[in-house]
Amino acid sequence: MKHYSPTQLALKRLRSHKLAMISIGILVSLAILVISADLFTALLGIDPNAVNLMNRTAPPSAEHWLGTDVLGRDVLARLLYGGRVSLFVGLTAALAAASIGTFIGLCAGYFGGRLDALLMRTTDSVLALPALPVLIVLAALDLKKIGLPDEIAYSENVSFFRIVFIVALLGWTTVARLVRGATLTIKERDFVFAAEGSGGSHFGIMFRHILPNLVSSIIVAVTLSTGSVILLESTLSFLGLGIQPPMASWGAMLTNAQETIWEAPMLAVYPGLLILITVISFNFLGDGLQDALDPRATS
Amino acid sequence: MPVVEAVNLAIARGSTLALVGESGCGKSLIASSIMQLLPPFGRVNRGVISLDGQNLASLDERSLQKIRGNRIAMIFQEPMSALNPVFTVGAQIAESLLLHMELDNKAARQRSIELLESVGIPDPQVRAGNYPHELSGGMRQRVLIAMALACEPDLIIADEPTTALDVTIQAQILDLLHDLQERHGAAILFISHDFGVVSQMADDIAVMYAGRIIEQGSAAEILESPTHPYTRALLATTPRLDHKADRLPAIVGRVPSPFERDAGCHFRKRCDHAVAQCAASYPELIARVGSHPCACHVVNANV
Repeated sequence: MKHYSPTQLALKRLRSHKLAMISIGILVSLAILVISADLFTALLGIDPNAVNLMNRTAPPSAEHWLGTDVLGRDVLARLLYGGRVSLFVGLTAALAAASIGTFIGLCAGYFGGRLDALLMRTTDSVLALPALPVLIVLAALDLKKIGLPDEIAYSENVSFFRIVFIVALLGWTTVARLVRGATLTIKERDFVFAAEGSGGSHFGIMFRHILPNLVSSIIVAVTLSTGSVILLESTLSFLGLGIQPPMASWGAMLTNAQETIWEAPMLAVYPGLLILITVISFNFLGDGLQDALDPRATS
Repeated sequence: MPVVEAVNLAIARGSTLALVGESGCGKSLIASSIMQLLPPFGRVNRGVISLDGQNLASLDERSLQKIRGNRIAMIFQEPMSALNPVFTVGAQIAESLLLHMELDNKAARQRSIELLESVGIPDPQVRAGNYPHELSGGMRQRVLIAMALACEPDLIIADEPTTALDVTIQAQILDLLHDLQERHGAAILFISHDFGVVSQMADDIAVMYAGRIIEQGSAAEILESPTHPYTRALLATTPRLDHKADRLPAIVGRVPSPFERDAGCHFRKRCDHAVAQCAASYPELIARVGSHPCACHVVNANV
């Protein structure tokens, strides 16, 4: 008899979800393109950060397939490197936020009582913070002044990690609430009692028995939040508080493009379009995963 | 507020004690107390829960984790919800082996296949790789029994193990429990509300009502000469093949919750034989000469 594991069943259902499959196709091709950015630039002999003021806002040519930006840098190369940053920020920040949220939600739901009250009131407080002002303040903090050594505080990648950190710090609340709610339900199921009855420890039961039952909803939450994190990164970068030049990101490219929006509108259209496509794809994929992983849930 | 009180039970190795009563009598709470897995706000206030002379009520959590699943194991009522849907049944049986026995993964897997075979599951090799949703109700109950047997416990608590199964499967599961008990010599605490099932399993029977034992004795004594009005009423509600009845009798009313109990006999409002004394004091569980213990003023006055 052919038998399917729950994962295989979910994959079967996902495969019949057209929009989700198209989204996967788009996201995978984007990921491949973005990862092979080094290969591509090496092949064409382009440096994405090389400024050429003699060749500003040039139209597409054999050398620069999508033309050049205000500083004469190759747009295609910058889109690829920027996509690398945007996608990576989106995924890592969403994952980091989900990990924090999962741990907090599991503890709150499983142990209950005072710990639950404490953790959930903390969650409420974080949710009540006005996100954008806090993000702006945190993004504007001088890392040197809070005691980080020079080589970290002034390194090239610090703006990148800063964004991941900030988003994780503020973004875990949704997952925490989701996981807590689901833990409360699953905790009442007999198999948890059975696991206690067969001598499992608290953490063993939390992570071996309850967590695997939550994975599907966590995956959906991570996918959906990746899209919004990419948007958030774009917003911050657009405001000049996110990814710092010369590093590219789609949001930062939008900022640069606004000065020349009338002369070279395509400079804004390319990154804007990519953000749009990526975020939409993540949202469709999230929907598809939700249907595939949890057939009972309707939303 | 006491929910279960004045319970005094003993089960010898290799024998089966059945705990019988309606829903809400506190049968399952006794099981949870033995496991020391009471719901929040529940605790054992007084008394001793002794396993081979060791008082479980006084142990810390860590020592209890070593006993649960290892020396005392539980079989549950709902075989679907007692199995974790995201793991194969083989992995779930191996789980308690890995917790309590010094086995590596491979040996535990091998042992779990043997256990599946010993509870009568065909193709144990294949079945070990199945998920709970791929098995039928009877098979799942067999898996649960295999899980309970994994570490060869001294005491098996079976909390209504056949209630969710249909009658033919019920009989198979009861036979299986019988067989396994003979082979392993474990003691079984069998919780049920069904005298039909109990009569097939039990050596001794204790009848519970509203948190107290009201009648206690050997299976033959209780089934053939019940004395307490509640036991008699309960037995009368059990359908029998050798008696024809148009309509099964029912006990009017319901079990009083712990909030509604008073100083008198908890059963008196539903009892046909109640006298004035029943409202005044709770009857003691005492045995008349030549009979088994029973907690009823009327019965014990008619010596």
